[in-house]
Amino acid sequence: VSPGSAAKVRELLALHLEVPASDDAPLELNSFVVVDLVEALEDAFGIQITAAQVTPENFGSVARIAAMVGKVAK
Amino acid sequence: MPAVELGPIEGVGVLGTGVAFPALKLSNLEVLQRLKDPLFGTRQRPTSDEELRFIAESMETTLGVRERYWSHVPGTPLHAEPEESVVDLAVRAARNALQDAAVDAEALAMVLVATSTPHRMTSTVSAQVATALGASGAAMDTRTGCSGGLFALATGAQLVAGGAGPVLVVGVDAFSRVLPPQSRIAAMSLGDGAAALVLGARKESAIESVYLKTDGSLGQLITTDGALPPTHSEIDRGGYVLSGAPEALTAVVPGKYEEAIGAALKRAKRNASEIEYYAPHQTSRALIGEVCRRTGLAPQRAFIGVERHANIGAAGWMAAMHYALESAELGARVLTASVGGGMSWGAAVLRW
Repeated sequence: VSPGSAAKVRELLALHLEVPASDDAPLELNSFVVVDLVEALEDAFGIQITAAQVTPENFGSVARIAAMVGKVAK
Repeated sequence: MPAVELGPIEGVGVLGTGVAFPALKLSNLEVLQRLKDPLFGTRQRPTSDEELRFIAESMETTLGVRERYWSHVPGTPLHAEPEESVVDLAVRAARNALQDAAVDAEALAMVLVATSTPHRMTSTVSAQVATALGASGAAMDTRTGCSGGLFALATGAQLVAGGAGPVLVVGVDAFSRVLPPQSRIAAMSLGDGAAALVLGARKESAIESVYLKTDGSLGQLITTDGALPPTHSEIDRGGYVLSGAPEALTAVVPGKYEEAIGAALKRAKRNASEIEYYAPHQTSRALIGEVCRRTGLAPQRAFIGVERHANIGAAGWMAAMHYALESAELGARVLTASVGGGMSWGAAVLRW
């Protein structure tokens, strides 16, 4: 996972969350935020995230979201 | 710190309970579909049915809410036929409770109505409810947010103990009329409903303890912040829909439950493990669970009704009593607790 993608994920999260998130702290995103974030990630990284990839594990922290984005982008 | 601490009030019991809901029942998915424009208007792309279903199912898991009843659909004209008012809902719940208790409305000494969403700025919901029921005694509203019913319970129990006669306590709220149109969690969490209790003399029963407390410095955490009477500019600003500081509210509320429940148990000389029925204010599955963890109340004895009606404000814990205690035996140990906007909070231990 590139530091750049984690930074971008953090920036997008900040847009949709009121509380800033650190890279490894557990995130408890409500499903409204997840849906908005998926849209933002798809646009920012030019990727397509499938419903099967929208899991609590993949969205459990900034680092895990960045890892999932990295995997999808390959 | 001063607080109201009462009890035991011997010989006073809940003789009957009843509930009432508006006709329109909406699932999580139906709410999201009806409010798609305001709730998802900030998104770049249209929200798909698959995304709506994902949110609807997630909300059932996290909030514990599956469906709710609304007398009004946000975005449609207010007070249009066939919307039921809070008076209509309260009267229906009251009639059910009076029938359950086998008490005639004419015999009621007092009608107490707890609400945060009254039908008018002046006059009272309770006066209209009493008149509709044919109750010619006294009537009074209690306005302490979602804990209003507890304040009414304490008042009513003392009236019964003092020999006044049976007292009707109603909790009613119609949050559908004060929903902020773009607030997603509010749309999923809040519903409309009424619940009622008839309090009367019964030698086996008691209100073993009551704890009540208020702190107005926390009033901005959840409120409708427009001044009354309403002005056009305040209506346009959103001064008459719910607003506040949800994160600060979430941080403060569990401690208030802990304080009230701890004090009520202590005064009743009960341990948390002795409580057979916990009928809390109906907020969310998560908060009810957290309060059980903090207080030692058994989670399997906590009644959770939010799945069928969401958060119905002042009616919540009375509806929980209605459903949970339908077949309870006399002498059952019951605890209720609520935190309401204002902020006011309390708890009570009852011997059924």
